[in-house]
Amino acid sequence: MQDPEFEKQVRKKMEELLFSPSESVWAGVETRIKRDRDRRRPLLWMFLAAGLVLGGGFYLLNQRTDPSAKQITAKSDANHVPGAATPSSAGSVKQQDAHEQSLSNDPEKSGDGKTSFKPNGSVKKPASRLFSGETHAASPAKSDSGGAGGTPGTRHPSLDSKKEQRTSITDNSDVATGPGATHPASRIPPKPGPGGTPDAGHPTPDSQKQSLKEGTAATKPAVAKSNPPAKKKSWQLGFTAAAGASPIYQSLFQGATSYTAAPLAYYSFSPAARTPSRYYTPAQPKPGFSFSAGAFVQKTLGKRISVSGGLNYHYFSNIIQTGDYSGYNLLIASPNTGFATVRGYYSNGNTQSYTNQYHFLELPLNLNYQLNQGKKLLFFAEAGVSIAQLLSTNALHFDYGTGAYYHDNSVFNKTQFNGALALQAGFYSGKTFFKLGPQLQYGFTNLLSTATGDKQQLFFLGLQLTVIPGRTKR
Amino acid sequence: MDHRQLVKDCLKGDAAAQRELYSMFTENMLGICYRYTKSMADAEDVLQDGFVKVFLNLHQYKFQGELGGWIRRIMVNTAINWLKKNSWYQSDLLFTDTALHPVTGDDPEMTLSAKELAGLIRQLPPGYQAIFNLHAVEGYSHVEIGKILGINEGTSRSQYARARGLLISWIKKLSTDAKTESYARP
Repeated sequence: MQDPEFEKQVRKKMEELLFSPSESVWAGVETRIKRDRDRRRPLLWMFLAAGLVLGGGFYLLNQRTDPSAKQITAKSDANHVPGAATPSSAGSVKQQDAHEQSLSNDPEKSGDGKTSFKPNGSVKKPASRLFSGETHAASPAKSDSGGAGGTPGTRHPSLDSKKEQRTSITDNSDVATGPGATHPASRIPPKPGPGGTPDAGHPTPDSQKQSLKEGTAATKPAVAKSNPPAKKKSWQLGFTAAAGASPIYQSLFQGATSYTAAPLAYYSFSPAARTPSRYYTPAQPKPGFSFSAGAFVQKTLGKRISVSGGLNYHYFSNIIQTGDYSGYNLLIASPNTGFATVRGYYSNGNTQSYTNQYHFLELPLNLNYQLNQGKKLLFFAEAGVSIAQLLSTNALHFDYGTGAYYHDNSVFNKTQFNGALALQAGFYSGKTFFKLGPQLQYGFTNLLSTATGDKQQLFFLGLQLTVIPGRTKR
Repeated sequence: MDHRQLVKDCLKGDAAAQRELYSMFTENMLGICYRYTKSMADAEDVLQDGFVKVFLNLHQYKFQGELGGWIRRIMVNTAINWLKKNSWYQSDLLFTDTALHPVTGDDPEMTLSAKELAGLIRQLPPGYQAIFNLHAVEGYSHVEIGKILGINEGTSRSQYARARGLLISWIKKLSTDAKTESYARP
């Protein structure tokens, strides 16, 4: 038995051992930290840029769609009301009626809808309002020549009447609400019932008036005759949420994770490749709760096909049985960094359940196919891929040599490539379109990034709900 | 001393805080690296690697235990990994030169300075040097050292005994020489 006094003295002496390193050491440290940070930064920017591109793309496409839709609507007005500029023409009177009707339905002007237009005294006013709205969105300069009698516009310098200002503000808000809302007649709230559904297209003032006077039965034919086909919004914004379970599989067809073949490989990274005399077996992870939520933009490619892309947050979890927690240090064989001391670990056992949690940010790209042409209930098949970035995890990693579970985020592949399939039933509720159905997602990328080749693939099986507000019926 | 704020600043990427943390521990850590290597240049390489790991994994430090202890563990692991990468130390573990067999006897009185003692430890064959450092200075058990270096527990135990004996004999010799020298002085 050795006297520990010698070791104590050595330890004490070595505590006193101090050296000043050369300046180049810090320079090297600084450079390498910066290099590593620069290496990680593009990935973060990639996600941010993708989000911005998606958001910006949606905004720009929406902006581009709106004026064209207005132009079509405006042209249709001009076609139907050739004498719009002539106060005495019957068409313009009709149009004025329609606009008076529409204004009377506008809560902003319900009190003085008619009188607010009297100072200008022009029946062309509604048409000019229409054009002013259009030129506002496209080119502010054009609004100056938008029509005789002064086109009200928010940025028009000749505005001096508060009523006109109020009108122009309403015009502007129309621009913001979308193509359908720019049409004066669209101010009339949609009439419920078989003939007056909100999706019956964009009725012209004539047809609108007719429908108001003659009742709902005549509305559809009138719309069909007088309306040129309104351009549909090419991009739609939607929201999606899913909830279910997330098992971890060894591979697509190999079922739950099994580590039985792993230990040999596990220890082969060691300088003296060897097989341990004893190794432990980890607990099988059980599926845990999983959910996702996000937003997407969808573009219709054909009568039945559409493509969508978006940004999702996805939470995965699985549950393992572990032993008690110990706050002591433990020497483990880290599969990536070699032997290392970890502070705090869970022993091998069955005394408690531990939930491994994974937080991902996903960029999904999906192709949707409408399976039927029903009127009430539509069925869709969806297939897609997504790239996901692991934001954080508290997952435990298993050490075969000690049988301990410990935290080591370096063993996870931070970027994942997934595939997804979904079947959904869709229906309208008002102007909102809902889709609901099962979804399956499989992580093609190995969750583990270890030299030992351990495999873990994330699965998700759950129910997905998709909501597309303001979607028009096809 | 609470390093909480310093760590938080470092995590924010504050270069001044990183430099401060480095300055705070660098002398001590270089001493550790020095004991595991054969030259100051190698020790500085290990120190650099170690501090890069410290800063890149600082988010894993949960303010449990001393920051210095956490950094020290990283330095020791880095030094061991460095030894493994430069796997020349493997052959030295089987070093059986009888010339190096230890002199048995009582433990010597420690009259050497820290640098002199570290110099002697560095003169040990690399395998001995690693085992001696891990057991005598870091306090690892032979089971743990066996895992770290990929050797049997028994090998670690016997190699340590040899390293210890060798070191004691050198210390004794140095002490005797120093005494002789002092007696010889007028």
